[in-house]
Amino acid sequence: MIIRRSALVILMCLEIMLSAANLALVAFSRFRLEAGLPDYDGQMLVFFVITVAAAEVAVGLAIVVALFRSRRTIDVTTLTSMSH
Amino acid sequence: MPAYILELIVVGLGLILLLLESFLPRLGAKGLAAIGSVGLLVVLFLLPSVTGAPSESTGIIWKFYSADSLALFYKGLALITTILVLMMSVVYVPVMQRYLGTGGGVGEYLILPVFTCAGLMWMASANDLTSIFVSLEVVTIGFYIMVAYMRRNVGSLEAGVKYLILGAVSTGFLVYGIAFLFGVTGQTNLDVISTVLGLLEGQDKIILFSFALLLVAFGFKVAAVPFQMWVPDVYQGAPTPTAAFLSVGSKAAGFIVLSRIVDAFLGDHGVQTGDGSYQDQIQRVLLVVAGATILFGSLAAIPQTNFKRLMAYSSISHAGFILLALACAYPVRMDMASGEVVAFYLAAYLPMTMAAFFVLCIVRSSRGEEEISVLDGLGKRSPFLAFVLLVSVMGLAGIPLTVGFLGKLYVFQAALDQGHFVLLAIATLGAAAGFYYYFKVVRSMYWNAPSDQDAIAVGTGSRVLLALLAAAIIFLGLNQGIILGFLR
Repeated sequence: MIIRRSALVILMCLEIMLSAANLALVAFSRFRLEAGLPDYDGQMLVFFVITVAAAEVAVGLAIVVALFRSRRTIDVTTLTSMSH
Repeated sequence: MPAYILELIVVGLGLILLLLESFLPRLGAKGLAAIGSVGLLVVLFLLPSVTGAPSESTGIIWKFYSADSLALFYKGLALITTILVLMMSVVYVPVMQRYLGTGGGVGEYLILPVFTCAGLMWMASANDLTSIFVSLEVVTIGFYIMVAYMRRNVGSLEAGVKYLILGAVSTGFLVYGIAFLFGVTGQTNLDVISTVLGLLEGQDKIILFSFALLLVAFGFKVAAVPFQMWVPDVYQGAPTPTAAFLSVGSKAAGFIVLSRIVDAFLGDHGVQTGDGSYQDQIQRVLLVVAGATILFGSLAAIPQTNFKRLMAYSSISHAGFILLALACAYPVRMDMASGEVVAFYLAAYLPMTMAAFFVLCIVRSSRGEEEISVLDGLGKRSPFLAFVLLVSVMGLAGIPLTVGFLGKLYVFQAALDQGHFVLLAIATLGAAAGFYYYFKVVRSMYWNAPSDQDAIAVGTGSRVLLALLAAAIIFLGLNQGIILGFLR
C-alpha cells in the first residue's frame, strides 16, 4: 500500500488489510473450541467488520470520485497544497 | 429508563432531520440546526435520569454496553460538543455554499453531526471489543464525509483523502489488535478480558503485541505522536466546525475508549512498578508517547502562521498532557483517579477549544482567510470577539483562574505523585512553549494595526453562546467542584 500512488489502489489495499484481520479472527475462533464448537464471538465480529468495511469503501469511493472531478487525477502524491 | 435509549433517541432525531430536510426544504440550515440542537438539549436533560445495568442480567445489550458515571459524563460532553458544532455550522454555512456548486445542499452537513454524536455517545459506553469497533467506525465514517464536505474546495478534498486513507489504516490496526486480543483471551468483553489477562502466564509478548496494535489505532484517534501527521493538514483543510468537532468530540471519545482498554490491560493485578512485567512496559510506552506528544505538539506549534494549524498542534500537545494523566493510572496513589483527571482535562478543553473555533468561524465568514494575521486589530474592530478569544487562549495556555489551569494542575500533580520527574520537566517545557505561541494570537489581536476598520457582524445567538463559553472557562476555573460533582 505504501508504494502505491493511486487512491483507488490504496483503497483496495486497505480492504486486503481488513480481510487479513478477519482471517485472523476466524482462525482464532476456530482454534478455540467450546464443547466441540468454535467460539462464535470472533465470527460475529467478522460480520461487523465486513459490513463496516463496505460502508467505509462506499464513502471512500465517493471522496475519490469528488477528488477526480476537481483535479482530473487521483494520484495521491499530488496532494500537497497545504503548507508544512 | 435504560441508558441506551438515549442513543436511540439521537439516531431517531437524525432520521427525523433527514426527512424534514427532504420534505420541508424551506426549513433551511437555521431551522435544521435549531431543531437538532433542541432535540440534543432534551437528551442532555434526560441524561441524569437514566439507569445503568440491572443487577440480574436481563438482556444481551449489557454485554456490550455499560452506563457508569464516567460513561454518562462523556455522553454529556458529546452532546454539548455537538450542539455547539451545530451552532457553529450555521455561522459557517455561507462559506460552505461557495464551495458546493449548484445542487449541493448543506442540509446533510447539519445532520451528520447528530448521527456522529450517537456514535460518540455509544463509544463512551462501549465495553466490548465489538461495540468499540462499531461505534468507533460510526464516528469515523461520519467524519470522513464532514471533512471532505466542501467538494469544490481543494483543501477540503485533500484533507478528506488524507483522513480517509490514514483513518482506514488505523481501522486495520484496530481490527488486527482486536483479533490478537481475542486470540489470546478468547473473550470480547473488556471486564472479562481484564480478569483473563490477570490469570494468563508467559504470554507477555503476544499481549504486548496486541496492545501495541490497539495503541496505534487509538493514538491515531487522539492525535498522539507518532500518529499525528494527519492532524495539521486535516484541521486546515476541513470546514472549521468539523475541525472543532474532531478536536473535541473525536478526541474525547478516543480517550474514554483508550482509558477503558488501558484499564483492562493494567487491571488491579497487584504488580509493582519496575518489575519488567507487561503492565510495567505498557505504562512505560504510554509515558514515552505522552512525552513525545507534548514535545512535538508544543515545539511544532511555534512557527505556525495559520490559525487552524496552530490549533491542530495545540490539540496534539493537549493530547500529550491527557496521555500523561492516563499513564499515571497505575498504581493509583492520589485522591483523584486518573480517569477523573482525564475527564476533567477534556471537560476543561471543550469550552476553550470551542470558543476559539467559534470566533474563527465568525471571522472566516466575514473575511475569507484563516491566517493568524486576519485577527490583526480585532481588539479595536470587535472588542467582544477579541475578548472571548483572549479568554479562550488564556485557558488553553493554562493561565491561573481559568479552567485550563486546573486541568494542567491535576496532570502535574498526578505526574508528581508518581515521581515521573523527566515527564514533569517535559510538560513544563510544553506549557511554557504554549504561553509563547498562544501569545502570538493575543499580540495580533491587540498590538498589530488592523488592515481594515469594519467591525465584524455577530448574531445575537452567537453572541450569547460565546459569552456563555467565556463565562464557563472562568467560572469553572474558579469552582473546580462543579465538574468533579458531575463526575461522581
